[in-house]
Amino acid sequence: MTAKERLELLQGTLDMLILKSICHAPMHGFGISVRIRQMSQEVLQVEQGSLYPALYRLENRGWIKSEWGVSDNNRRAKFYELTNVGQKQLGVETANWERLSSAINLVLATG
Amino acid sequence: MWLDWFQEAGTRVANVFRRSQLESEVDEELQFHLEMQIEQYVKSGMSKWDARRVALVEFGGVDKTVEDCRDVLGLRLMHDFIQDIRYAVRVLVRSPGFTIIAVLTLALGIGANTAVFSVVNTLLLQPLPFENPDRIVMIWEENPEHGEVQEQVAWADLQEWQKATTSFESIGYVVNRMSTSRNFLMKTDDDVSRIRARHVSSSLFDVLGVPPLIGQTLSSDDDEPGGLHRAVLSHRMWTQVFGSDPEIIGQKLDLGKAQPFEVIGVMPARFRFPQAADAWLSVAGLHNERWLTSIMQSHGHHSLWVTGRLKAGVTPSQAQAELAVLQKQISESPENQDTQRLSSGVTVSPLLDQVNGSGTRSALLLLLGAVGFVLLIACANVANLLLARAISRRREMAIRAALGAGRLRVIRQLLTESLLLSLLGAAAAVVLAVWGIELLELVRLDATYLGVKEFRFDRIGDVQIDRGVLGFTILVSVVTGVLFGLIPAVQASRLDINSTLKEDSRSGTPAKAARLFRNSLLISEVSLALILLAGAGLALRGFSKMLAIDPGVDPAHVLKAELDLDMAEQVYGMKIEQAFDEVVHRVSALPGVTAVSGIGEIPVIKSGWQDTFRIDGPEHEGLDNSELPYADLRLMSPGVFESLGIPLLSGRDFAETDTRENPGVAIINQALAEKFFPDQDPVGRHILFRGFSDPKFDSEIVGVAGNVRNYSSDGNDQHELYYPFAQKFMAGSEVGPVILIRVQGDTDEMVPAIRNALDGPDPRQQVLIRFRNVQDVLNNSASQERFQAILLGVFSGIALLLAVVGVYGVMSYSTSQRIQEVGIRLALGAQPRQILRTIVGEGVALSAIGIVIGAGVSIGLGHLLSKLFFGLESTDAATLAIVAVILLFVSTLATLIPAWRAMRVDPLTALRHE
Amino acid sequence: MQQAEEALISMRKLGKVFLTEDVETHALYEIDMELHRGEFLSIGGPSGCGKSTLLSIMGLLDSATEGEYILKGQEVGELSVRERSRLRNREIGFIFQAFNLIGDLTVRENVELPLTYRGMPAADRSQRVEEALEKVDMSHRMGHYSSQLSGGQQQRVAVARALAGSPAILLADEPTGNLDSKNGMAVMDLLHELHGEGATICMVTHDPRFASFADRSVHLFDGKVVSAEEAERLAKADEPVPAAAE
Repeated sequence: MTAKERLELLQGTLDMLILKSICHAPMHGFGISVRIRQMSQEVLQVEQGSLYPALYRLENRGWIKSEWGVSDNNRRAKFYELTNVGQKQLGVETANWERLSSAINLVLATG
Repeated sequence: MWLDWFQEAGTRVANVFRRSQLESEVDEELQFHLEMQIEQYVKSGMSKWDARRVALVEFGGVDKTVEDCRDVLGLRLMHDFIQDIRYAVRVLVRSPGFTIIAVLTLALGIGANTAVFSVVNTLLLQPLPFENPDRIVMIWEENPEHGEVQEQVAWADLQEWQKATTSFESIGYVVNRMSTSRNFLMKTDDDVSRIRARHVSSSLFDVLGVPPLIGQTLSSDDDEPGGLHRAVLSHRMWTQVFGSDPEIIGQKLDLGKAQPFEVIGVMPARFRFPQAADAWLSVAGLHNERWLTSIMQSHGHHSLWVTGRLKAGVTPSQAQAELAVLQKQISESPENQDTQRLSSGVTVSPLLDQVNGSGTRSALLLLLGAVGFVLLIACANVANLLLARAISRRREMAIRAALGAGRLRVIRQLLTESLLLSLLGAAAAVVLAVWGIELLELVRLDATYLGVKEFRFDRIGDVQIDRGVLGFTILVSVVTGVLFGLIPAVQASRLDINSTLKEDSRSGTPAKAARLFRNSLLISEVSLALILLAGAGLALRGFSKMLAIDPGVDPAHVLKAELDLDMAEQVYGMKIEQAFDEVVHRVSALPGVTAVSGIGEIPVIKSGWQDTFRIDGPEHEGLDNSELPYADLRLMSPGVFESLGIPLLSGRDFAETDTRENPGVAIINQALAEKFFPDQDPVGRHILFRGFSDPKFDSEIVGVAGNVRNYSSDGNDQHELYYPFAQKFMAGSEVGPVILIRVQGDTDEMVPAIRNALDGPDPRQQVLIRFRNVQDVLNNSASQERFQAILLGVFSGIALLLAVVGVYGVMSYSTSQRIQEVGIRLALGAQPRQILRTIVGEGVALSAIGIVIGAGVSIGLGHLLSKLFFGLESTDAATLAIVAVILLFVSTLATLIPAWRAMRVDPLTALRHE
Repeated sequence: MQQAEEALISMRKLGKVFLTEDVETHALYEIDMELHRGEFLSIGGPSGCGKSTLLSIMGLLDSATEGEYILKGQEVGELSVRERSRLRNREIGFIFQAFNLIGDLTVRENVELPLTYRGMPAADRSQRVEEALEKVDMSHRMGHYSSQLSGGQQQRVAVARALAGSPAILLADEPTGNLDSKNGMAVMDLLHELHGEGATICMVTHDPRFASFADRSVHLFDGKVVSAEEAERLAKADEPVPAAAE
């Protein structure tokens, strides 16, 4: 039970990071992993083993949509883009995250 | 949250069907990622080989990722599903006995539903073959004070409505007057054939909204007196009589009228209105200009079947309200006060109701309910079987769970099995349903309809298993599969793995909950069966009660046939009256014929001719027309009472001497005599029927005849008034005469001899048509009840069978689970018959609970049931008791077999088998 | 002759042959044995030696194929199924290894069962049931379902059930087999006590500790009665540690 909850929390966080990374422009999977690493100043490293399943999951939920296109180096690549629903979801997740992290900070501060 | 879930599930299902494409997409995408990574490392200065190695190490197991992605994509679901199905097939094949019983049970349940639904679908759900048929209505007049409902519309009434109404897009009509305006002899150069045609208004085609196949339909000028004689042919006539002649337009039809009718169009095959019409003729061709002009101004000549197309958004009841106001104005208008047979009200009902007849809907819904019960019982049976199996498969389930199958996975596996079973059942059900529909056709609804028979399209012949019915069957079977499969599956999945695995094979005490569930299934099965049996019992009793009605006639050896006067005139070259005498004369001469007579319509069928009458004496002195009583009128020749075996209670029959030259005579029936001549002999008194308002038709009552009823009479005997043909023959008769022939021996065998004696040389020159045994006609009046009784009987028989199988199944299963217990009891010195008694006792107790519940529900629903089974007492204690005893007896028998088996258990084996 | 009349049970050249796939298997072979009123007899031997079959024949659950078995002076082989049931009900009380209580019945109903089958009036039944349960110290659990009891308790109820009909003889088939040693010992104490009060008991066990409670032991090997010494020798040769099953 607890293990499952922890897993979901992590998943949720990853989902949020993915949504955030493509909120300005469509990106392919590799680009997303690079972007998350850059945005977190090399702290967060997303394994492809969790990235791609997460992308497919988000697409199934209708939060992102994908399209095959051509990458900078002229290769066929699949680009992911935020949908309107995904946009809203990002807002919700971000708000939730802020509430959660500030709550955790409060707990940690009262040491 | 739920929406997300649904969307996700939906995509997954969709993905399943795009499987291979997606799999390669996943591969390609991962490949791309890897190559980009390598490229990046190369850019940062690594050798190509190193970059590849590092990237691959970092990348981790590609296979696992692909697997995960597939999983997300629902590919896993597909693999699992295929696996489930494969396994389910294997399980079902491995226990063929179980599979066959379950599939047959389901096939009975689903098949009965499919058959009944296919009829419901055709008769109630499928639209009539007209444009927007739900907006088409039939309009009737009524005069409730005089018991007139659904009377044909008077010409002038219709004209006034048409001027004022705002409810209808268009109103059309069919003229329904004398038989001479329905049946025609069509003469061609070398041939004479009989056709059925109707004079109809041009607007009828607009109302029904069906364009002609060829040519055009009638125009409004054709409706007016003095208009053209024009005809539109039915598809059947065009193809069969004219061999689909493309040059048909413009040909002339000689229908024996002053002028021929010119063919202007052909309708498509689906256009049947009324059911049996070969052609539609212009109203102008009905009669001469003067006659037509006068009848069109009459409020008393009710000759029209009127049908209208409602404007969009107008309901039949709104239209009825509007017309009712208009008709009230007509009936209250001072200038119409002298009009005979003036109607006071209007009814508007959807055409579909007319087509199906009044009882059809409730009869079919009742049957749908009944087969629903049958299906529930079937479900309960299969659920029981599955439950029993689930328990014996506990070890298997425990092993699966121990190997890591989730609970949902186990449930899904078991549900797949049930769905497979129910789909197999559905396949077998379709076969059963085809037979079932044949059965339905055998007992086709052929009741005396409140509506007009001619509008009752014989759609039961159209019943078939189409896509809608198949969809229904599949839906039912899926629902059924979930219904009977879910609880056993959930129960099987809810087990304590450890204890089950450790448990020895004799498996201790069976789960109490499972047993409780099984017992309640058994109880509900028995109670459902009881309700159905009680319903069937009621229907059967109602039916036999009807058959027990004394019809007042002796019909078994009497033939009834319609005399085609036109044909008789043509074949014999005589005028109508002589032609009738000729027919009677010829038939009487045949050996084996004991009596021949003619009558407008036999008394077991309504005459369709009702009006007020006045008797001499103080009672009716000075009474206004509207205050006079009503009677049914029939014209007849001498000998009708003898032919039909109706007793003459007093006075005499009509005689050959009762002709126009002699004083008018009449015979009344017992009901009329008792009501209006209480405690006195009406013979010698005088009676005047308003239909013959001329005082010279004032008739002396010369006899009193016994009452005649049909099986659907509600017990109130009609007042009947009989007059001799010879005095009134053409005085307004709208009904062609019926010839009654009493024979010795079998009626059907006499028909060829009669034909031979009467008909012309051409086989189509039949003077008497539509021969029927009067007993059959009488039986037909109970056909709706027969239909219900037979079908409910069949369905409750199936229910009984299924319930017995269910009781047997539950008892033999629970007995097999209790072998050890039986062994203990035997070891403790129980006599085998004590074991027998214990087990039978338990089965009987469960059945008894079911019976009590079922009886309670039957009594509770009694009110509803009595509405459906026309005129029955709501709860018939005797029927309920009989049915309960039958059910108890049969379920006791069903427990005897397992009990007997238990009795013969070898205690040693029972206690020791390990 | 004198002796045979006194014996409660007497067997002469009793044998049991099973026919399996055309091979005759002698489960029991020429058993001569007597059991007297008030005696506590234990039957021992390795599993498969035929001791349980012998007990079943004694208890009329099974019949011998050879020889004679006289129970209370009656030749049992000639009795009808009905008579055998009656005799089993009145003269024999069973105690099984697996207790064999009926899970859906209460303790009271379980104990009452043999009396019911005997057709005893309800008032008498109730008194007997209470006495029997009193004796095994289970009367406080009268209304419980047997499935709610511990193994030791269940076996005590089973003893009470066997006692309730005051049978001539108690037949116990490995009564301690499904119990831990503490509960096993308690049940043996109970049997010992009953024996002290005059009950005739025949018990099958392979455990020598429990066998020692009996007045007399009979050893079976391959369906034959053997002496104690020979049994021990054979056991050592054939079955490594028969006594190690503590």
